[in-house]
Formats: sequence, C-alpha cells, structure tokens
Amino acid sequence: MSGSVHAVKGEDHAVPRAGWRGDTFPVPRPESPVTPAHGTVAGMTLVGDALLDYPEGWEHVPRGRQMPDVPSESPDDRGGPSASRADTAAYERAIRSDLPRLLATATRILKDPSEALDAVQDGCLQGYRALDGFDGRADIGTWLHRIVINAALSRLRRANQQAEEQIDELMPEYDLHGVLLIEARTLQVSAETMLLRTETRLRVRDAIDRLPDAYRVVLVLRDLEELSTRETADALGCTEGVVKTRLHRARLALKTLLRPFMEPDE
Amino acid sequence: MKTVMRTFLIGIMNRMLRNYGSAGLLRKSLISGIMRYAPGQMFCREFGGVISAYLDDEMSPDERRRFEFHLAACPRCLRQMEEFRIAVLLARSSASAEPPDVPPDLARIIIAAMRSG
Repeated sequence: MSGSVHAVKGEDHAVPRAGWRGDTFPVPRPESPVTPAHGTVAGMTLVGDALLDYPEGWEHVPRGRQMPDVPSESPDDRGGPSASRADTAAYERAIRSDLPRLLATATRILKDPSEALDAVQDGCLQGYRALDGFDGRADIGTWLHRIVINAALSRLRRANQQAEEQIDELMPEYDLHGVLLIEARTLQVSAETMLLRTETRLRVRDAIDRLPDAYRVVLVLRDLEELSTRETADALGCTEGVVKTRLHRARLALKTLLRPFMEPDE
Repeated sequence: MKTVMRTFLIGIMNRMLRNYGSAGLLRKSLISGIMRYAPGQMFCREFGGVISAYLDDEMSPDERRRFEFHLAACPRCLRQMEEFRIAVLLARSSASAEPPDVPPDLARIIIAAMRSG
C-alpha cells in the first residue's frame, strides 16, 4: 500500500478485519479523532507518506480509505451493548425480517450453506455487541447486511489460504494484430429469453461458483449485492482500482462460461 | 494491359464475394475495415478491456465516443459486447433467485444467544 498514512486513536480491539491480501485497518468509533495526513500532528512526525513515530494505542490507516463503520470480531469485544432498548428491539426485528436475505448473501459468498449459517450467526452476534456504536445514520438492516458480508468474507479468507487461482484461460483471445478471435455472428438469443428458461438460474449460479474466489467475491458484492466500488474495496481491504479490474475480469470469465448456454447450437 | 488488370480485379472481387456471401456484406466489411483502422480509433484489445467501464458509465465522453465508434465498426466486438451484457444481466438477475431455506428456529437461537451475552 503506497498511500500516505494518518494516525487514528487506536482501540482496545483494533484491527479485526484482515484485508483480502492481508491488509489490516482499525475499526473506528465515531468519537475516534482522525488527524490530517501530513505534517506534525499531536507530537508525531510525518515525513512524506510515512508516519515515523506514533504512540501506544494508535494505528496507521492507509490514507483515502473509507473506514468501515462495522463492529469488531475481536475476542476482547465481549459482552452486550449499552444500546437503548429501542435500538435492541429494532435490531432484533431486523434479524427476524432479514434472515433470508442475510443467509442468501452469506451463501453466495461462501458457497457452503452450513458455513453461511455460521457466518450469519457470527455477524448477528458481532452486530449486537457493537450496537452502541450504531449511530442511526444508515438503516439498521443495511448495517447488519454489511456486518454479515464482513463475517462471511472473514470466514472465506480463513478457509481459502491457497495461492490465487488464475482465470487467464477464460479471457478473450486476440490475434497478433490485437483483433478479437471470435466469430462475428449476431447472437440469436436475448437476456429476456434466457431468463425465461428454467435452467438459467442454475447455470448462472454454477458459472459464478466456478470463478476463482478472488474474482467471484467481487462479482457477488458488486453485481448481486449491489455494493458500490468503494464499499466493495472497503469490505475486501483493497483499492477501488483492484475492484474494477477484478470485476471486469470476473464478468469476462462469466461471459466465457455462459457462452455455450447463449448459443447451444454452436 | 487494361484487360489483364480488369480480369485481375474481377477475380479479386469474385473471390471476396464468395468469402463474404453478398455484395452488401462485402461493402459493410470494407467500410468497417476503414473505420476500424482510422487514426485514433480503438482496437479490439483495448475495447475488450473497457466494456465494464462503458456499462458502469465510468467513461469520459471522448473514451465513450471512441468505444461506440469501434462498436459500430467491429462485428466481433459487437458480439462480445452482447455476450458481456447478457452475462452481467443474468448475474444480476440471479440475485433475486429463491432464497435459501432458513431453519425455522434460527432467529430465535440467535436472539437467545444475544440476550444470554
């Protein structure tokens, strides 16, 4: 990460969320002071992009990254919240009403229904413990949805430590002059027609599941869960540029996997 | 000499017509070729790298113009674009697939776990 850093007053349970490539950053509380990125701040010397010295309990955070307003998973963060009864009641209502959606999201990320179930329970409990940090700016259901996404991503990272898979063989091919190697025929099928086919849903889900996780997760968060590029980058702990690149490659690969389905007679 | 040239050209035209099937397709292909290789235009490889940016409306006006110019000129990329668009639509529509079965007691178990601390 080459971005400059700024200091954020650390918390006793900081840095719960490992990034996709091992990046870490602390989870802020609303009252956390955020200092400017350059110059001398609170007695600390900032030279160029580097924070040379910072006191105990402070963490460095890549500049420009929007810090997620989600709770920690740290074991230190136990015990119930001091949230109001109204917040707790609203939270319980959100759990009851959103469970199918939360489970669907976790299943799409993890592919394994039992893992998804665990991720939903983890997320709901983490959200409850951090309920006093919920400032009410967002809808509580949306907040819970983000927490469950983070819990599912965290499980996926733990389960998936092997080297990143490649999808190069699913990318389009070009000749020496950069001309696309594909038959220039008009497609005889429309998306609407395909949606009417009963097997479409299964074929699409299967094709998405065949993508390497690093690409599949970006596709799921952006196109299925409808997170913004920024929100996806925050959830994965990577840059927006990485999200855009992976999303594009995931879509290209998905197109290749679905091509036989689009032109079954080819 | 004139006759030789005329025979030669007619031979080429006949061969191209055989390859392209009809005079209309041949004319279209020649126009496409000229447009595709016009100065400053996008090539297939560059086009293939920015389809997402086009669909997500993240292009500058100039980039969009070059993209659409190539799209109009290149039937291969037109097809790739159609396949890409359909793949994205199908992926998005799969989000509204039937939700997974939620164990009937799940909400109660989670809330009980929350309350017990």
